Amino acid sequence: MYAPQSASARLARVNIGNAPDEPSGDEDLMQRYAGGDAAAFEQLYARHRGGLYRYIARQCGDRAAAEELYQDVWSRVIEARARYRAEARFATWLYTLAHNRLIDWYRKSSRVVWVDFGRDDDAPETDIAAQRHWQPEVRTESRQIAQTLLALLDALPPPQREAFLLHEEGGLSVEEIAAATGTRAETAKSRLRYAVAKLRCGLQELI
Amino acid sequence: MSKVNMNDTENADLSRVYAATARDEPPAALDGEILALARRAAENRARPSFRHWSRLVAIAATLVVTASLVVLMESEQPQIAMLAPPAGDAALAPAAKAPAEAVQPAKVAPAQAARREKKPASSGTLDLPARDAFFEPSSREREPPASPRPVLPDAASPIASNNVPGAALAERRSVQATDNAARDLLKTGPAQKDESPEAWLAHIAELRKQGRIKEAEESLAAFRKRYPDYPIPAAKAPINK
Repeated sequence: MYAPQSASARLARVNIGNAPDEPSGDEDLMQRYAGGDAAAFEQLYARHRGGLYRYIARQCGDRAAAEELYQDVWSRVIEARARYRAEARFATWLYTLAHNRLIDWYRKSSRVVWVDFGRDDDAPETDIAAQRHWQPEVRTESRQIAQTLLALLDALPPPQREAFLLHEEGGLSVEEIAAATGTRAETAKSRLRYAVAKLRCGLQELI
Repeated sequence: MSKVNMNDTENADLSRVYAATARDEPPAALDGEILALARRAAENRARPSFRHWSRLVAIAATLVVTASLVVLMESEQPQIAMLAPPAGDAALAPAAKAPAEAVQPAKVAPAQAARREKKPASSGTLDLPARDAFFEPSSREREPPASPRPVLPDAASPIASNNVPGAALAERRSVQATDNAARDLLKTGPAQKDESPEAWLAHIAELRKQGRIKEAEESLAAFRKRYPDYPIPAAKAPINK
């Protein structure tokens, strides 16, 4: 049912930002579902289930909580189907719901609300170098590369990690990331750039 | 939209590594729950709501009540028709309406008279005064026109003489009648009945002449009741003529 997006597709989105090859029928599917077409929702769900789940799971770090949040986000999508208006991309709307739900979960679980970590946006390159302690010994095995990448991703400041995940998993552009997270486009762009730089720096000797 | 200003090759490597790494997916059970929820919601959307059904029921109830009222009105019409002039005078009914109403205003309430003035002229066989009698019936208007009551001797009282349906009927017919002699006779008939048996019998004979057999027989029956000792052959002669 679920066809993971190819790396080339992801790359295309990263490079051009506006995602021209993004499934253009999301909005239409959602409107068809609002009209009672359950099959349209199944298609929509298949397109976004993996990305949304990974975004939530990596942002909250708790599998059980991630599943609960994931189901809650989709429930909100279902409940809001009649009010949905295709004024923006469906993916932007979906990840905005997920972002807001994550913020609520952080607050309820007494975790630090990290949305306004402006310091991370201006982190100097020396911070990137400081992340090298995450870097394990150089190995060529892909499994180790994956583990290293996930470790580096977990070590990112949450706003930067979120920007990276929204870009990679949701296919959101910088402007869409800014809209989903309630920040300015420049802030979103800065977060994304730092995230990519830190990850690349950590993986530099592996890939 | 803003592009991510990064080296394409670096991005390709990073995205490739991340795509190979990030394989986590939601459990199948969770997928099933969400899809089932979505299907239920879609079915509820497709199914007509209670509000929709209640609206249909309200419309149906309104139609049923309206139809029942129409049927009730239709079933009441024969009774109204019975209050109208006899069938033999059906052709005269529309024309006779005006004179009849000319006689009525002194008897009806002012409000009813005002309502009659607003009524459009009826083109059917239904007599409008009779319809008024249906909605606001009076004891006088309910009486059939062929009632034997006026021939009773006690009907000589002012109220009874004014309420005699035969007299009202005579008023209506007088407009249409072309026989002046018969009209005069009909107008003065009740008075003659009270004056002398001979005049009454003459009136009965005139009714027979006009072909109004039923009225003549009723009048004769009343005459016999009023004057049981009067020589009947003399009265029969004009009737059997």
